[in-house]
Amino acid sequence: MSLAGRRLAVLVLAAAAAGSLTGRPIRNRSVYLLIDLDILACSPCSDWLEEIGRALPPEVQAAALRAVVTYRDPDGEGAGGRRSRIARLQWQGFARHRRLVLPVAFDDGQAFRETVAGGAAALLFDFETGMVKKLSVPLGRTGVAEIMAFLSR
Amino acid sequence: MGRKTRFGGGLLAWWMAASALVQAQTTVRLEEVLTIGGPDSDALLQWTGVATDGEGAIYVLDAMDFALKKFDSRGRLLGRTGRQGQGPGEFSTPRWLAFAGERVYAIDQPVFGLLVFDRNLAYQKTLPLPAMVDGVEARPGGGVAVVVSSYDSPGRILFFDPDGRPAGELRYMEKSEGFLLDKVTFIPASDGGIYLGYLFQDKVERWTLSGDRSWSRHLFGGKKSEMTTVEGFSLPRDTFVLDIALDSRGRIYVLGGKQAKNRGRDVVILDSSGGQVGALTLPEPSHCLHFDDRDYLYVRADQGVTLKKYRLVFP
Repeated sequence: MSLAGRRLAVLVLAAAAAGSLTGRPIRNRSVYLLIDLDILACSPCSDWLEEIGRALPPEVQAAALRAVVTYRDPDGEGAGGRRSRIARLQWQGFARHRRLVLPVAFDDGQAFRETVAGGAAALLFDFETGMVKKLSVPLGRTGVAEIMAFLSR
Repeated sequence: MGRKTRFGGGLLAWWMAASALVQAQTTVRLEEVLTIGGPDSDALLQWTGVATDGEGAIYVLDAMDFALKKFDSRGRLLGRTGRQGQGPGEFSTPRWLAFAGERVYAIDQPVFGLLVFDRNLAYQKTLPLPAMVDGVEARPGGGVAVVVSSYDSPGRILFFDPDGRPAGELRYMEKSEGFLLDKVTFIPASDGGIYLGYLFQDKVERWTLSGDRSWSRHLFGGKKSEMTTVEGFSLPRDTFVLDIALDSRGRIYVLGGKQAKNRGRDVVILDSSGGQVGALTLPEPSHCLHFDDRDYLYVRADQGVTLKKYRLVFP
């Protein structure tokens, strides 16, 4: 794994360990979606999320998927700040229309900002083997199918 | 230093001082009169288009909520319509909005047509168009104008009468000058002209409906956009004019893009001849400007969860 990939994995695990995301992985596997809020306004950039909402039943989403939403916070207001509230409001609306019920954490500390600014990343974690795989985003149907296969293995 | 040079230097100093004074005098102040939505409200999730009618109602397209919403003049929600989809009255990527002749015209970007609603938000029909639509505006006296986007046939604005029948066309670009370089924002004027602001070119222009360009001017020193290559396509990277609007006195408001000092916030005010008569800076970035018939200005704030209505105060 590249240095950037390792850094990303450490950050995600740190976020999970900090308890900002809860839920038991399916067969010790979880998929983390790191999403820049900005892509939600762009249909071609966020269609893959709609595909996930369509393809994965709510119980699978709730158990095995995790989202971390990062957003622009130039004034560093952090949790409870105006930007943070806007991020939550827009994610709720976005998720509601796309049947996304996965647990979500907001990157109020801007830990992922540099990593996914202007885009997104999907990370597939196998906690048993310690394997991490990064899928390129937008995922498209192939990527969503790979996530489904990963979670049902 | 000769007398002529000293005189020239003095004149220059006077001119600079006078210019600064004029600039200071023509800076327009904004007084907020209404806010709709906000970070702690779910009234708007990410609005894209706004229109107003003569009774003070405010129509808003909400792209993230896939809805057309109607508010009264005090910002209370009167109704909403639409859902995600591509059927009649549904939206997938709602973008622009206009109110004309008792009808609300909405553009859903992938649709080659205009979605028509009545003022109670009941879907009426879709007017078919030959290409993807990049903007819609009400025409003084009724009907609408739309700018359509096509690589084969760039630079076209189509006019429709109040019954939705074709009523002419303006060609402002005969052949492609480069991918996306025909993208404009536009506004029809009550004197029969039409003003264009180019998204990726430093140009604001006035055209007559018969297809003559009355004037053209630069607002950013005549700069050219830097280009970038994406998947083999050479694309412009810098935005110049994000939107253009008119008040009832015929003043033209031009919202600057990336080339402006404050992107999405700096507005240059021109007279009908293209001369600068003022400027203002919005408190927050907006993607559009809209004036109602009482000259209140509507703009975006909070990344689209808030719509602000302002009164403009000229010195």
